[in-house]
Amino acid sequence: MSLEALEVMLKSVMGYATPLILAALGGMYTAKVAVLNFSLEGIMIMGACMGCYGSWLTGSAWGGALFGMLGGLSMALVLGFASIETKVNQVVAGTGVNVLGLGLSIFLSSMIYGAAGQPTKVAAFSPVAIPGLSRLPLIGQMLFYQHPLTYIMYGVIVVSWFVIYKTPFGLNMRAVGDHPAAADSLGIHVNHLRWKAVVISGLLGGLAGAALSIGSLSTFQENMTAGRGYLAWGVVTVGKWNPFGILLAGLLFGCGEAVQMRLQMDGFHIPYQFLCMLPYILTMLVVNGVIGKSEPPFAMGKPFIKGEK
Amino acid sequence: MNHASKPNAALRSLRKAGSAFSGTGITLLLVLLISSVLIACTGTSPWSAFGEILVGAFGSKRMFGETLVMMCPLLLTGLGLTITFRSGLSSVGAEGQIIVGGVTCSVAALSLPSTVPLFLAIPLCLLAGGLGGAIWAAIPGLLKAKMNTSELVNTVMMNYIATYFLSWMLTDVIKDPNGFYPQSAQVPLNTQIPTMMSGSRAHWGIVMALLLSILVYWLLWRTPTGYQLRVVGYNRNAARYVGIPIQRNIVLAMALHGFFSGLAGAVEILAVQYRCITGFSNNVGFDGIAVSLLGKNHPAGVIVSAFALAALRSGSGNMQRTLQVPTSLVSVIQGLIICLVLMDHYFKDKFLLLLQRGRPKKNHRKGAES
Repeated sequence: MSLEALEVMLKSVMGYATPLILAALGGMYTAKVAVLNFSLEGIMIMGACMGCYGSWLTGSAWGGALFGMLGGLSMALVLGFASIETKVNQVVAGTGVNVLGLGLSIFLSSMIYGAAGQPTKVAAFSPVAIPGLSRLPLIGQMLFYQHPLTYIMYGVIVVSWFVIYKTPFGLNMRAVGDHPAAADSLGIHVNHLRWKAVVISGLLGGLAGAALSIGSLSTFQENMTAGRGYLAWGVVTVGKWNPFGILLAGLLFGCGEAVQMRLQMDGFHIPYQFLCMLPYILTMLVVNGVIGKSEPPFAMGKPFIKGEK
Repeated sequence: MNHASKPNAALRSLRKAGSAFSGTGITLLLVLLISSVLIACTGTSPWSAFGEILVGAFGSKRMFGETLVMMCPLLLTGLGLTITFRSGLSSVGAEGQIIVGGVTCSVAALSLPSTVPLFLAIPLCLLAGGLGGAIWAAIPGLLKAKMNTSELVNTVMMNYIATYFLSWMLTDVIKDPNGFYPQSAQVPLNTQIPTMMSGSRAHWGIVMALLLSILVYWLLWRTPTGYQLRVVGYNRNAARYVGIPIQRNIVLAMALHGFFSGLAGAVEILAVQYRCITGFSNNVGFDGIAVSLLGKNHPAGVIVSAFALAALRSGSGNMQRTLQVPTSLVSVIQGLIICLVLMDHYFKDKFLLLLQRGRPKKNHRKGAES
């Protein structure tokens, strides 16, 4: 493969990784406070749907990004209500949110655009080159010639790291994730904090969805997330609940997708389906502690009932 | 003391009377309300939309047959999930198991010689499908039992692995050599499940699914195995204390779950599609969660809810044709059912509190005495 082809491929890696990492960062916030966010798929698909709608309505990709975030938030609120207020099984609730989000996104888009049909092209983000840096060999294009949401993602990674490890808010979050009862006894309002994390994950997950519909493409397609929400959950796990770990894991998963696309185009003889399986298998290996055991926050998935240990 | 306990007693008797219906009833009312609002937003009257769904589901022999055809995989998947939920596990892996079951069944059907008589060939293929699903589901079961890792995470990941496995099988291994599309050849005539009513696609698989519902009831409530599964589900510590092998029961529950899902996939291949195609699982694995939750994890309830959701699914096509309300409404309704049925105890408690607050104190006393 020539150097140029490699550059193009690396550039596409970041394109694939951006929505994954954005959603995974959202998932990380909920994971930190021990809410199992299995609804990222539903959050993302609503983000994609509303992102496209917002862009169509306002004529600006930024308007779309805002609508996408709100769309993601709406689904996250359902998860928040189920897992924080009613204290039900979070994964089944998350699955419900995913079914709901998938149906609602299709229903809404056929309702919004009506008989006229889906707009095939709405205002979308276009790549912006960072002067100088984008001309670095090999990684210049990959890191610094992307659409604005990728740059936002860089910012979110750094800010998240700072918030989680350097601020009282982050410390409280980690306390709630590991031992909610102890956190509660110190006067931390466990459920408030969990709500905040759920809202953040909805906004970031919605933005991730928008990165699909008005970042990589400029239209909304039925079921366009195609399991990326679940993959994002895998990214959180493989990235060990750390923003920079998530960046690396997201890039790794993005690589998988880019290589597989490339092989499919070249008509290569390894069945590409096996490459598609890799991220899921990798997630399973990590979750089951076969490679790089990663410990989730201790109280993962358990609802908090005041006064119970 | 006595005085304080009286409102509680009233509440308890209310609860007893209402508990059978109130939770699910309130939830279903909420679901109906929300979906009516959505339908109204499209500019259609909800009454006529639900009317068209009913016509589409029961309007003719053919339409009723379609409802039964939809019901079959939903019922089988729901039965399998009932076993896992009763054993205290919550799997979301039915989709993958259906796919793997469908594939193993197709492989068996395509490799059986055409001289094998029908009454032998069909059970063999069904068994192949069931076992495929069971093995697929036993993997997360074993991981749960041995490594104590969440069966949920593993089942979700395995759903996607199964999807790609199907894609590979259809483009490579069992691809129809004479065809262009990624699909298998038609399964031979001696493995096709015959239809039951003329003029409709309703097939004998439905009768099998109904009989299996009785079997699941018998297994869970009338055998020592079922008793053990349920004890493990109620209280794992108690189970350990009385010497019930927990690990074995976890694997067994998952394998049974996978067997039923695999069977659902096999029936879909042998009785509906007659060949293995992409997307034959049609999200039944996720809809099955709605079925078993709505059916309160009891075979009788699961039959009713599978029938209701199947009617919704098969009738919605008619609604789309006549009123232009998109069928994706069904997916919204199913999502709402999963979320809201999960939370129904919450709504019930809120509702009961409202009732209690609304009543003057005298009534409480009466309620307690009667």
